[in-house]
Parts: sequence; structure tokens; C-alpha cells
Amino acid sequence: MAGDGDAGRELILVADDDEDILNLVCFRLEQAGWEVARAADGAEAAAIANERRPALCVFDVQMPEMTGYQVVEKMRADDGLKETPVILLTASVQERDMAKGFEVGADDYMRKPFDPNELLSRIEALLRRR
Amino acid sequence: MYYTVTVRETFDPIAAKTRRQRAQIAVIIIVLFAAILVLRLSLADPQASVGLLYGLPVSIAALYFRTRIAVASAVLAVGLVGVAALDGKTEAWTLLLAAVFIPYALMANLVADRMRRVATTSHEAEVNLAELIETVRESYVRVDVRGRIVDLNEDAEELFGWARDEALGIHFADAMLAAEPADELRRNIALVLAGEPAPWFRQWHDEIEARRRNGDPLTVEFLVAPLREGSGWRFNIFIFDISERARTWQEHARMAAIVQFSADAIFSYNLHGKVTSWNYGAERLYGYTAEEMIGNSISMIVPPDRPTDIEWILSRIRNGNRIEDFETMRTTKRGRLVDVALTASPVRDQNGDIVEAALVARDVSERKRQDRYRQGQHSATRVLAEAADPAEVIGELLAILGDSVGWPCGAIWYRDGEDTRLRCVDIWTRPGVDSPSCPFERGTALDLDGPPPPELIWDHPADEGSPIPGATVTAEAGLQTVLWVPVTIEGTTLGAVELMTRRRLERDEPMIMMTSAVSSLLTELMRRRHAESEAERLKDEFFGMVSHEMRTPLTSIIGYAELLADFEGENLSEQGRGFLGVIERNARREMRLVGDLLALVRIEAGTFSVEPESIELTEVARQAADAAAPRAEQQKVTLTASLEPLGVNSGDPHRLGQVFDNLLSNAIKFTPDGGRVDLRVARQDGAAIVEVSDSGIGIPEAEQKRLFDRLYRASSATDRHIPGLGLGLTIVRAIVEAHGGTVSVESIEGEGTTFRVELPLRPPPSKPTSEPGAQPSTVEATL
Repeated sequence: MAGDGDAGRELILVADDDEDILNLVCFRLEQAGWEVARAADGAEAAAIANERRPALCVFDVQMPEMTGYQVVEKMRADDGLKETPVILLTASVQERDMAKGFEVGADDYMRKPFDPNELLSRIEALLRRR
Repeated sequence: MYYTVTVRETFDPIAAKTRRQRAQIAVIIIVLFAAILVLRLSLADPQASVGLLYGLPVSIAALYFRTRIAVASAVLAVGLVGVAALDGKTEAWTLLLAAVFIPYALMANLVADRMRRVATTSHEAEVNLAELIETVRESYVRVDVRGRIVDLNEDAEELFGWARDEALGIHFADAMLAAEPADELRRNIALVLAGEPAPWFRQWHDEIEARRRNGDPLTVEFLVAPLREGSGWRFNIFIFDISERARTWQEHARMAAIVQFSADAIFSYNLHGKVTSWNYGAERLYGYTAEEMIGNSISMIVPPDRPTDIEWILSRIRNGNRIEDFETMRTTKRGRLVDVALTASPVRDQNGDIVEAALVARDVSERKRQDRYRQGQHSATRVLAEAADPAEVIGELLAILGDSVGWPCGAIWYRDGEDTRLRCVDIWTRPGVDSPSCPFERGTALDLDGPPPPELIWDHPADEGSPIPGATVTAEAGLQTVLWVPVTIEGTTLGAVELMTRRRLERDEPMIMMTSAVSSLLTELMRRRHAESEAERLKDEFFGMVSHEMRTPLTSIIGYAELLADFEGENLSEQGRGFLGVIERNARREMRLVGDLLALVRIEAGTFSVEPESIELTEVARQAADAAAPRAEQQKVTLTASLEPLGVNSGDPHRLGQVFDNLLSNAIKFTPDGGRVDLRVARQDGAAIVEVSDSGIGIPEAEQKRLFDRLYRASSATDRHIPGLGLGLTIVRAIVEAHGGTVSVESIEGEGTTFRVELPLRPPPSKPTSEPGAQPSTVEATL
């Protein structure tokens, strides 16, 4: 379904405060062969990103402690995480939320509910472009 | 005694104007000389008679040709006396002759002189000479050594109001003169009697105060000529009544004074624009004194932007036209502009030629100022009324206010969050060379001791304790008066508009009224705007939250249903997989409904927008048709798609997908079993044409217009109990219009309906969107 031969070795950080959705996304990514790290809020996501240096991140926007935007901003200020691709997942339909995502340095965004196949293809596209 | 009579009669030829009077005088003289001749012939002295005969025609000529001959007559008389003396025959008659001629000549000469003086003075006084001569009467009084009147003529009677009979014998000086000239007369008579020179006599004295019998004052000019008569002296007094002339002068002086000290500016200039007169009012209005202006060009007071003003006035004046209330502007000595209304009239010389323009200028600055205030207020109101957000036009308002009050600069201050700090967000300086620039600049921050003043202030920043923020800086820049107009909403001062000028001005109430009117309007609109945007923000926040809260569980439902189908599908029965499909389908319906409601909220709020990306419209249409196919099949409706490739264009794939979805689902919904729905996408005149036609129930013509209204549902739909919210077409129209396109409908009830969308084909946005973003989301395109 997804992932090339290298996919299994690369770490993808997923953060969402909704546990069901977190599990859903992680399950899909694991099924596709990626190694996955989980975070239940923004602060945790930032800490894991700093510690484990993932190849790519998938963040929900509206999270407690730190929003997805804030985590991206923090990562962009860190030389080691400046280039790490980030996809924002949002349930919001507000255009300005999308615009803000790109402003703070996200590489892509997807609206919820997302098509899992599309998410996987976007992840692969971003990693290829690296 | 009869000599006196003779003298008087012969003296008076000037007053004797009629031919009859002159003839009478001539007869008297001839008789006189004839008498002398007879007397002389009887003495038998031929030499003397030659002189006599010679003198006769000269005397007559003197009468007729008046005064020019008088001097010759005097010379002749002296000559005769001289000839007689040389002959040693000095006789009484020769002396008599001399006695007759010398005073005659003297007086005639004086009269001639007087006439010349009158003419000259009249000319100088610009009084009509003919009129003055008409009014001039010469009176004559003769007094003896004690000052008693021994004779007077009719003019004198008339002048003083004394009848001759009454006047004779009374004391002239006491009765007819004021104290001072009376004393002079007595003193000089005494000098004459003492044999000393009397300097007061034999010259004209101006403005001697005299009085009439009834006590009325008289102003006269007079001359006293002492005349020795036999053993005694007589004093001939010639009197001119100058009361009339004095009155004329007075009138003239009064007029001049009125003009000179009029508050209106009255001045004149010649046809070359050179100033010829300049009154006090003009000095006051323009600041230049008469000395500075007279002889100089009037263009000194004409602003440089009105170079043709004077030429225009002069061209009208040259044609003899008057100009009334010509409104223009002039520059004062101090460089200030004043609004004036000019009235100009041509001035003609004695030949009737136009030589000058006489002008009256009224200062209409005050009225103009009020006009400008009113216009300023109108402009400000209009700008505010047309502005979407009053905060955005504050800069424009500042310029309007500054222009209308004629102040040179201003600044806009916003309160910088902290209570005691103001930040300058904009400045304004009136265009013009002289305008001092605003002492602040964009970004200037002022730290205050307390919150900024919440009320309107008119103040002089140089004064100690001025409440104006930044007063020291303002005063140092030479700006003496400040008008501070704060914008205070619900007790909080958000900022202020500040106007400054170099002059120190006292409170100008009309200006304050105007600015506070504008400021209240601004405040009111800002307050309203503030409240609206607050409501807007809350609404947005609420719907954002609703969206998020509703979509998040749906995301899980759909996600897990898909997960189940993908990973556990093989373990489910056919029926179980069917049930899973129902869950997923309905969750997606719910999801779309939430999306529609949110879209509707934004359409209502006017904040609906689209996100253009690079898209292929045909591809979007194909996906929508694919998605609609199962539903069509289910309803036994034939769905066809005729899609002309249009290449890559600009558009919001998600939103345009929604247009196709809504139109197709409507068409399928309203088409009975066995009917057909056709989707067509084609290019036409640089636009994309999308048509969705069905063979459905149709829409009554009367309702077609309302079809795109929010929540409107056609009667043909409600009558048949076909479900729906009536949102779809409203959203279709909003999306199409946001792309610059149009949507229309054609329908015949019972036969079918065609929706037609025209979308301009725009080149894709230059900024490349992210690679995967080019693919439209299939989520909402799936039914």
C-alpha cells in the first residue's frame, strides 16, 4: 500500500490530543511500514521531536499545552529540526488557519477527515523531496 | 465826501456784472471827467487837459477790461503827477487824479489777485471752479479810524445781515468780528494812526471768524486796505465769505476722513496696477502702510497662484464696467492668505477718461472659514460613511480637518497597549512651502505620566502645565496652538487626532464644534465597528469550535469504519460489510452538512472566500461525476458526462468540487426513475461553461429567481416531500461568484431543468502549491 524499502527505518512523529485519531493515524502509518512516535499534546511533541529527531512530523493543530503552530515554530528555531517536514492535520475549515500553518513553517496540511492513502502519499512526497 | 462814493462805485466793477450796471458806472466816470474838464478849461491850462484827455479812455478801458489795465492806470496816474510836478504846475486836480487812480489800481489789482487765488485754490481742492465762483460774493465795508462803519455794499449787508441804515455808524469789529480779529484790526489801525507800519493790513487773512447779526458764525477771508483821505484815514475792508467753501472743504475732509478711517479697505490703483491711494482699512487688512503701497504695484498683495487677477479687474475697469463682490484671495504683509470680496469701480478724470480703479475690499475670511468648516465636516462625514472600517480613513480625516481649518500639520496617535504610552501612526503636513512640518514622525512613542487626555483640548503647548501629550516637543517646533481630538470609546481613549498651528490662537468655537462633530461620528462608527467585529469574532470562534468539535468525532467514525473495512473486511459477512458502508456513508453526509452550514455562516457574514490553486476543471468534474454515479444508478437515472479538456487553470478544487456535487446531487434527486442527467463542461469565449441538465420535475418560473436564496426550496420539491435543507444552490452561487463566475437556471415545469455555470478561465497562481495539494481531496467528493 505504501512505503518503499527504506520506510521502516525512518521515524515519524504523530501528535494529536484526540486519542482515537492518534491511534488511527499511527495504525495507518505503522501498517504502511513506518516507525512511529506518539505524543498526546504539543509540549510532548516538541520534547520528542527534540530528543528523537524524526524524519517527518504529523501534528494536529488544536492541542493543549502547545498548539501545532507553536510546535512547528519552535522546531523551525532549532537548527537540527529546521528542515524536518511537518504536515498539519486540522478539523478546522477556516482558510486563515491553513494560511497560518504555512506562515509558521509547516510543509503541508490536510483537513480532517483525511483519506489515509492521501496522507501516505503526501508523506512519501515530502520525504522524497528532502 | 463824494469821492468816497465815487471810489466805491468805480471800485465795484467786478461785482457789477450786468451791462446796465457797467453802463451806469461808465456814465458816472464820464460825468466825473467832464466835470473835471470843465473845471480845468475854466482854469485855461492846456497841458493839464492833455493829461486829462489821455487818462479818460484809459479809465474807461480799465473798467471794461478790468484788472490787467489797473496797473497801467496806476503807472499813468503816477506819471501824470510826475509830469505835472516837473512843469512846476502841481495843482489840486492832478493830485485829485492820482488820488482817484492809485487806490483804484491798488484795489483792482487785489481783486484780480483774489480771483486768481480763488481759481487756484479751487483747483487744488478739486472743487468745481464754476460752482465755487458762483458761491463767492465779495463784500466791502469801509470804516473810519475808530472802526465805525462809514460805508458798506449790498453784499456786505447781505453777508452780515445788517441793513445799510442800521449798520452805518456802528463799530464794525465789535458787531461783525470775533474777538481776536477785532483786536488785530484795532491794534493795526492804531499803528497806522501812529505812523508805524501795520503788518496786518494789505494782506489776505484766511479763516477769520465773523458773525452775522443773528449770531450765526461766519468764516471769511479778508483784507484791510488803509487809505488816507484828506486829513484822515479810511480803512477799506474786503470780505470773502468762505463759509461755503469751508463747508465744501469740510465735506471733502469728512469724506476723506470716512474713507481714510473706514474699517473696509478702500484703495485705488491706476491702469498699470500702481497704487494711488490706500486707506487705514487697507492697512489693517493687508498689513502694508500707505507709504509702503502708494506708488508700488498692487501685485504685491496678489498670491502667486492668481497672476491674472489684476489684469482681469483692469480689463473690466478699462471697459467701464463695475465689478461686484469678486471673491478672491490676497496675501498680507505677513504672508497670510485672506479671503476678500472686491468691489471695483472705474474712476474718470475731468475729460471722462478712465484713469483708475477704485476698490473696496471686504475681508470674507470669517465667512469662508465657516464655509470651509462646513465643507470639511461634509467631506469627513462622507469619507466615514463610505469607509468599510473607520480606522482605515483616520489619515484621510486628518487631512480633511487640517485642510478645512487651514492648519499646517497634524498627527494621529494610537494608544500603545500600555495605559500611558502613545504611538504616532500617521502624520500630515499641508502641502506648501511655508508649512512647518509635523514635529513627530511615524512610530514616535510618547510616554505619559497617566492615560492620555480623554476629552477635546484646545491649548497652547508652550504654556506651563499644558495637558497636551508631547507639548514640549510641539512648543520647541514653534507650534503654538494645538487641538487635541481624542477617540474615546466606553471610557477608554483609543487614540487621538492632533492638529497643530504656528500661530497662537484663542479658542475658535466653530472649529471646535466642527472637529468634535467629526470626532463623535468617528467615535460612534468605531464603537459600532468595534462591537461588530467583536460579535464577528465571537461568531467566528463559535463556528470554528463547532466545526472542530463536530468534525473530530466524525473523523474517528469515518476513519475507523474505513479501517475496519480495510483490515477486517475479510472477516465480516457480506451483510456486515454493507452495514459498515452505511455507517461510513452517513458519517460523510453529516460531515458535508457541517461543511455547508459553516459555508453558509460565512456567506452571510461576507467572509466567504476560496483558495485558488492550480486545477484541471475537467478532472474535478470527472471525479464529481464518478462520485455521483452510484447514486444515479440507484435511482435508475442515466448520468452522462461530456468533458472537454480545459488544461490547467486557477480555482479552489475543494469548493468547485462542491459545485459539481451539489448540482449533480440536486439533478439526480429531482429526476424520477428512468430520467437522465447530463453533465457538460466546455470552453466558450475564454470561459468554462458547466451545464447540468436533467429531465426532472422542473421549477415553476415564478420561483426560479428565489432559487439561490438561502434555505429556499422550490414548491415542486416540498410538494413531493423531497428532503433537503435548501443550502446547496446558495453555496453553489457563492463559490461560483467567488471565482468571478455566474450561475443561472432554465427550467420548464414537468420537463426538466438546466443549471449553467460560467467560470472565467484564469491562469494558475504563480506561487506553486505543494505537490500533493494539486490533487483534490476525494473525501468530500465521495457521496
